[in-house]
Amino acid sequence: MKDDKISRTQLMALLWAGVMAPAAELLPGLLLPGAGKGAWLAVVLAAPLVLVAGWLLGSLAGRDGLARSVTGLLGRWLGGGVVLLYIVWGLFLLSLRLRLCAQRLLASGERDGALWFFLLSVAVVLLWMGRGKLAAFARAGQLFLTALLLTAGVVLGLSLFQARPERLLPLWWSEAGPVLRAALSAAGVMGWGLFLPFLMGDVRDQGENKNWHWLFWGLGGALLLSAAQAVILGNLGAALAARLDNPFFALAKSVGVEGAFQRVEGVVTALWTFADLTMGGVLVFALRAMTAELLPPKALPWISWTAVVLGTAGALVLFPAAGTAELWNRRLVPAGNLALGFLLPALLWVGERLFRRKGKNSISCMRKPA
Amino acid sequence: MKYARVGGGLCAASPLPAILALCLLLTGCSGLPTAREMGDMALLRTLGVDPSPAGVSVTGSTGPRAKGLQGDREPALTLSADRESLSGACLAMQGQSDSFVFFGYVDQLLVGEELAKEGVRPVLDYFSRDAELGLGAQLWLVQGASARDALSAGGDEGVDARLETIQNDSKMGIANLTRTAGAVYTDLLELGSAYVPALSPAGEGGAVLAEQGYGVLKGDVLAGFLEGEAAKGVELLAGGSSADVLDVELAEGPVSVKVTSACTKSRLEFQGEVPSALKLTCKVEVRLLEYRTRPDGQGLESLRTEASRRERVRLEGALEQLRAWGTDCAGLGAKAGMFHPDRWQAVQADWPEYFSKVPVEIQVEVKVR
Repeated sequence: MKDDKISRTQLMALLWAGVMAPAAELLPGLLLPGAGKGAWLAVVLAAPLVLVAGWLLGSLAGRDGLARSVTGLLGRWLGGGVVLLYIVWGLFLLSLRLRLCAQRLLASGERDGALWFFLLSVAVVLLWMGRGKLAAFARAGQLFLTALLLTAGVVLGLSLFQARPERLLPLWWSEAGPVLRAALSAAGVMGWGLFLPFLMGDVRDQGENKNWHWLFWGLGGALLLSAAQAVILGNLGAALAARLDNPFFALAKSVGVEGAFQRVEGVVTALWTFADLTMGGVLVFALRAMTAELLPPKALPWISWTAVVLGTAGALVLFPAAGTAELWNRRLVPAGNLALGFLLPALLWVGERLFRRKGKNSISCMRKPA
Repeated sequence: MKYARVGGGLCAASPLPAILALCLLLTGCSGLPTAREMGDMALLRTLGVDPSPAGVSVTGSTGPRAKGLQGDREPALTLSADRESLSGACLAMQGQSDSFVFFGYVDQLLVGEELAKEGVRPVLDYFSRDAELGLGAQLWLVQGASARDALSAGGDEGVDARLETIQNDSKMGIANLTRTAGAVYTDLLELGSAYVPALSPAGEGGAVLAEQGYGVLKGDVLAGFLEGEAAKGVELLAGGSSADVLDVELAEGPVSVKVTSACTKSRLEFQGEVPSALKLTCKVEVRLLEYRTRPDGQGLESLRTEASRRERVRLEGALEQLRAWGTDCAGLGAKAGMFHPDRWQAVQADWPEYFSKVPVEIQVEVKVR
């Protein structure tokens, strides 16, 4: 496994490349009913919660990865139960991601094509990536992040000049409550990255200050995400953005450069598959790391196959009615991500502190007589 | 340094089923979207919408089309259908053509005056939700005629070239301000009103589309049209360059100046929680075009004064009409409200009424270059 280590920067690239898929689907639409024109601010206000959650998860995961740390802290059975909970949630998120990606690709064609075709295509590519090495996937993740940032940069940059400040401001104290509540939803969207700490056992220590590193990437990513929401709202306004199924892709339909390209939304939709693949890959590699703690080593080669097959089957079976996947993505997933990405790690962290203090006390008690 | 490649690779036996599966896909037994030849497609560029007894009438035009290897120009293809809904009419148009009708290139949307009186929101909603159509299309109101009449004004050439010319001229400041369907829809939802450039068939037999100032929508229905000086006033309120030359008689002789830019800033004053005055400062830049003797000193001051007076008249003309309709389509209140967040929240919902009542003070500053 020596050559399969990744750097902390690559881990962060995987985080933000993966989070761009749910962010483009849910932001700012998820926040608009409550926060209105303050939706962009809600993303900024979510940053402290995301930073704390990341710090908690990173602190728990240490250098062994979260799965091993949890089983080490709670024991094989209770720890295994907690890891199993994350496995079930991870498989559900994988199913949802595959389904939403296939639906987006299908919607970009509109008149023909079949959902199962796009779903199986994405699943096959994901399986191919998931069976490979984490280091290679992480390098691909860096390229994906670059492509996604360039794409988003072009769309938002071309829209920037049509943005109007009066569509974002003024905000006053009476809006503080709804905006803070919306910040929880925004944190729940960024919570799709909660599976990254399971890969920390494979992160190479390059001597960087991990707290500053996380602050830079965590805060930087949240601020960029907030700026993107500000451009979207500054163009479309809160009322129109709330009426659209997907404001970001609607904005992509409106931009173009005369004489060069007039319609880019098809290209943007296709490139956004990189974000789905990155998030899917993170989930598959995290599932590999989690099940490695619970299953015997001979089962490991089949974990990627099992994860992708179960994820694909879930994508086909779990969301039979039209709109179910979108509904669960908006209602269930942010809450689940907050529970498993913040509340449970906070409890585990408190438990770990108590356990350590108890351990220290018992050592000092043992030392006193000596 | 060794690099691991992405992916898990394939086992020795797997290429054959994969190749067979690919071959199966090529036979058409797949969920792949059907490929279409560009030559078999009718790319609609302009769409016109009117009311009809059936519900809605949609007319689409392709503009002149290239044909054959020599790129010969084929006349514009115009399709129209009347149905209960927009989607029904668009589908019916598909059945009228021997080519595949593609709506993804529609970048001009004409709305007839009658439909504007009934309400434009269903059309804008359809453009915002449809996979092919988009809110980036330029929106025009057709004054005194139907969109179908306006579309037929171009004859075999279609009207898209004319509309594109106006759009490009507008960017260079030599035509009226143009607006996209998205910008209008956003203003309708945010401000409750919006201004839209208006066109009218003119010339012999209505063969040319002429600019006719602006139509103003309130809610989503037509409140009225602003023409002439009042239309110039809307351009000053909205900001941006406009096609405008002022001819001024000075002591040194006649002088012509072109208005190169205008920017209007608004400020609200309150008495307690109620707006007591709306103060507008309009900064206009003009460039000397024609003169016998280049004005300076007193002459320049006279030029500034006269240009300020003219622009003030235009602003007053536009504001008088907009205030009568209760349509702050330039967003003067929203811009001023940014500096009074607490008070603005209290009056925002009733702003159209306040806009009609509150005294307006106008200050015009002209800079000659």
